[in-house]
Amino acid sequence: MQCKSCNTELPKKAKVCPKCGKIVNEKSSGNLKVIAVFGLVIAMIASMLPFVQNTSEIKDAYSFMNIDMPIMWYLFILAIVVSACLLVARKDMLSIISTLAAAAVFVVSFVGFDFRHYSKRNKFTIVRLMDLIQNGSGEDSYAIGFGVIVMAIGIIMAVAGVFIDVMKYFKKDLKVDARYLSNSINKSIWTKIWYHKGFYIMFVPVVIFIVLFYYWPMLGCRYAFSQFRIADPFYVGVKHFVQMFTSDMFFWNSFRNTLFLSIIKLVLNTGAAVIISLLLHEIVNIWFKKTVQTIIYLPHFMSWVVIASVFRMILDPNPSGVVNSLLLQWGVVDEPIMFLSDVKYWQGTFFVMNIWKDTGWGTILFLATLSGISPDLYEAAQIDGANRWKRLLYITLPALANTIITVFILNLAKVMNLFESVFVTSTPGTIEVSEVLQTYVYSKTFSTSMSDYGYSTAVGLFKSIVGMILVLGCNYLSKKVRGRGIV
Amino acid sequence: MKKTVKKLTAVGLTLTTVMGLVACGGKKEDPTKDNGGVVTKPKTIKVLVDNTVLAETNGGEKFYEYLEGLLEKVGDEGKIDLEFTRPPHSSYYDSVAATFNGTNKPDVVLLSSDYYALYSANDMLWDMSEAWENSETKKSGRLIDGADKVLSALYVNDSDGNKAMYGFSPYRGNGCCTYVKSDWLKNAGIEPSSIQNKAMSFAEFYDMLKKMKAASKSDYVVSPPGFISAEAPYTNYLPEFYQKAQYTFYKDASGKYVDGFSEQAMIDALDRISQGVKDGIINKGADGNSTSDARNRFYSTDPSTESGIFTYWAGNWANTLKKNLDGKTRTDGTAMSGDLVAINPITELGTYVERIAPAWCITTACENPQGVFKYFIDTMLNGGDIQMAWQYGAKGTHWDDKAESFTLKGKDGKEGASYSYKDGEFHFLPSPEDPTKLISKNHIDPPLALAEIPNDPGKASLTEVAKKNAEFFSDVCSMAVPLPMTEELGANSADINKKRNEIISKVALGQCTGAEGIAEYKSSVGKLVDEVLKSLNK
Repeated sequence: MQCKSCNTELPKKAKVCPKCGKIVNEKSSGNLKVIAVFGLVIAMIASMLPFVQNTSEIKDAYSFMNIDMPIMWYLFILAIVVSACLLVARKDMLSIISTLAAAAVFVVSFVGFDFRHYSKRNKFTIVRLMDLIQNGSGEDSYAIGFGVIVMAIGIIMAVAGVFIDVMKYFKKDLKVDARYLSNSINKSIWTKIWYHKGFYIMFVPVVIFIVLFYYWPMLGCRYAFSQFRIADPFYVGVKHFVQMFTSDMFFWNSFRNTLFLSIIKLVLNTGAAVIISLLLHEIVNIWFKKTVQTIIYLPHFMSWVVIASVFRMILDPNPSGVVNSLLLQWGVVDEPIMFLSDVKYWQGTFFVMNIWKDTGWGTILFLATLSGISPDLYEAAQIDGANRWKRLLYITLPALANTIITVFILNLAKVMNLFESVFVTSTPGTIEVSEVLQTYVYSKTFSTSMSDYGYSTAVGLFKSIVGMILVLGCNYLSKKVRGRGIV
Repeated sequence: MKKTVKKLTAVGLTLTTVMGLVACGGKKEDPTKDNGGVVTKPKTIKVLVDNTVLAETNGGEKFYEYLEGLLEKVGDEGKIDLEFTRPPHSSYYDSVAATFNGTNKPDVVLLSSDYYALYSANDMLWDMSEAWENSETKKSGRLIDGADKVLSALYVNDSDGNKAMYGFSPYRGNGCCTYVKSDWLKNAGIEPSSIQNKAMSFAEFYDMLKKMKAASKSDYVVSPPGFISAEAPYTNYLPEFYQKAQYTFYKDASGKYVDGFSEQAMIDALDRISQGVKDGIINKGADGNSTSDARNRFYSTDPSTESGIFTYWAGNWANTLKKNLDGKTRTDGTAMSGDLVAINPITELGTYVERIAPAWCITTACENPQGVFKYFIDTMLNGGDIQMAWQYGAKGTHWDDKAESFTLKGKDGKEGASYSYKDGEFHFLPSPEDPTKLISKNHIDPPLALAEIPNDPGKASLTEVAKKNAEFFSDVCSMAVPLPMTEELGANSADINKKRNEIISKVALGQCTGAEGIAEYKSSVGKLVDEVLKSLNK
């Protein structure tokens, strides 16, 4: 008998391949049951959504987040985590047991445990969900919240998903021995760690840093479901999300502005960088070319605060302002233009500032691509009688196209991260066109004494979800265009 | 087996940690404390302060030690360990909120009026009304006239709407008055003495501005830090233009809360500002300017960017503005003068507004609030060494009364000033932070203290300009009225104020009229305003 991994002839009754360490007759562990995993994630999210909801007051809601004995929530989470672990370990049938245990914890909590009804921070009364549904409270009536429906969907998916292997439809038979797909050998993980211990030790500070500063703060996203002023947050269901989507015009305005400013900026910056690259590529004098490159790269290294101050001085709306005094002298305008204070001019000024700052830096990739185009192509085209324009159209631009798309896609994933440049250049009068989601969250949080961190978190969470969708979308596009993802 | 263990361990550990942490955070503390009515001397007091107390870089540690030494001698025997925490000034209130969220809450915290109303409305502060009534400071009879007005503004609502005193201000809140440059007046053919001590009408005031504009090379006469201030009292940087218009909600004559911004007075005010910008009186580029931008325009040596009028803090700032102008030469060769005329409020304005002073509050987390009040807060204005320390800093570090001579460090290549003092003569010492300057005060601005020190030796060291201006302001100001905090106000104030500021800018820059602006304001945030008014008038 031969080893399935390395084709070595195996001794009789061998349990492990003596060469590569692969277990003989090891059963295929099967694919990860993705639907079941999604079900568990949905059940986890459902634990924060309202189980019971006041029919007239959105913030009067009950979930695990305001159960009087939080231990039940922890038990629920534990059961979900156990299910996830079992799924990852391919002990699918066992995961059903822990998933059902989670469902049982949910049902018992719903039926048999007390929940807190907060009238204000630190002031609550105890209620039973079944009583609320059957009898209401005073004049208020209550109904089953959509958290229960989502929970049911999650649990059903987690159980049923165990029997559905969707991954097999997406997996290709690579017809290559798995051993050659990575540099790993069929040794235990501990042996590998010990072998590469130096790298792992070096990696420890990075892991700690990432966990502390990237993942730990993410846990705060649960506050999106709570009212959080000063201290002691309490559960208010999906109130913030409803408010955000239905009655907060500033939110939608800032969402629109974020997309508009980011996408136009991206198109203009990329376009300007391509044009400048093409022009620079035509310069024959190396000294002059390098000087120009240095000059146009420099603004990239300047802080937005400095750039805003410089432009404020240059574009001062008084007659002594540099640009306005010239425009007045030349008779172009009768009145000084308020570039940074007038909604009509702010966006244009913002785009110009962005082009000035980042175009130079953006040319690096395009210049690298241009320098890689074979001169033979140009020579052949010249012989064929192609003029400069034709050569640009039929050689240079097609060669650049892939890079342009790549740059565009890579930057598209970052469109939601617009803050500093807007924050330092906008003025109270231009809020209508200049406020973006990040500045909106900032102003909601820091410009008032009674900021509700819960609401700001909800807006931030929405922004992150949109950002995540963009990143995943761009990753997909990137794979399509250049054969690999954006990371 | 190996793979199973590997995956199970890795995923299990990670997910359990993460999910477990998600579920954390439900711990509640009982804020009610009782020490049995006996006032004992606290062993430790945790204090959260901003940069209005001498900073560590400016000998703050010495001040803490000095204060601890003085407090040791007060009442029962025993030392009080003062643990001062000073977050960065610009993010002070974020740090205060973060501290209240944590487990290590302070015993004492310094809060501005907005935050004071907020924290008391959320039952985070200890009710010191009774302690104040029985305090040594109140009984001392040394409180200045008007102290009652200052302290009565500190009676605010708790979460149930009951009014009580949750904090104590040892000094007045101060406010802004309008300073006019004498040399600009003279250039405009106006004798400075003719406007001193005279309450002009707006027409007279505006006429003066026009004459100053005509006589100057500058683009404007007034360059405020924005068309509206970011904090209460909001209209204080352009008081002559806003006059009695109210930026936010206030209680009208009938005792009902109304939205001042929607009223005719605000429409008129906005139109006045718009006209001022159009006439080149107010800086067009003021939108979004900071206070330092505005100060720099006032100090500017460039005749095209210099401002001639500045509405800014009274008291010590009168002296600082003068010092920063005296001896400077403009780029056109003319000398600048630090002679400033602090004009009376115009008749339409009536009085300048004095802001509500920041308050020292004891938190509900404090285990011995009576003790902290008695030994920390009630001693701030004791009329002796402790008040001296709060006004002037630590003896030997920030001030002294021994015979000595010293020379300040020179600046800009010039030699620093030399000083010589006799024994027993109070004098400030060079600032540890900036040895080119003398220390001028600690937390309590001496002319603003709510109680004077009998025969205050430091009084002589105050400049005549600062003293006179503080007295002048005291005569022509009225106290700001605090706005109670409601949940609806807190939730909507950021959006409402944002819209108000947008409208102010649009009208000021001539993009719409006052009436159009207010109509837009009502149509966009009218619902939110109604919601807030409903909560205020509940």
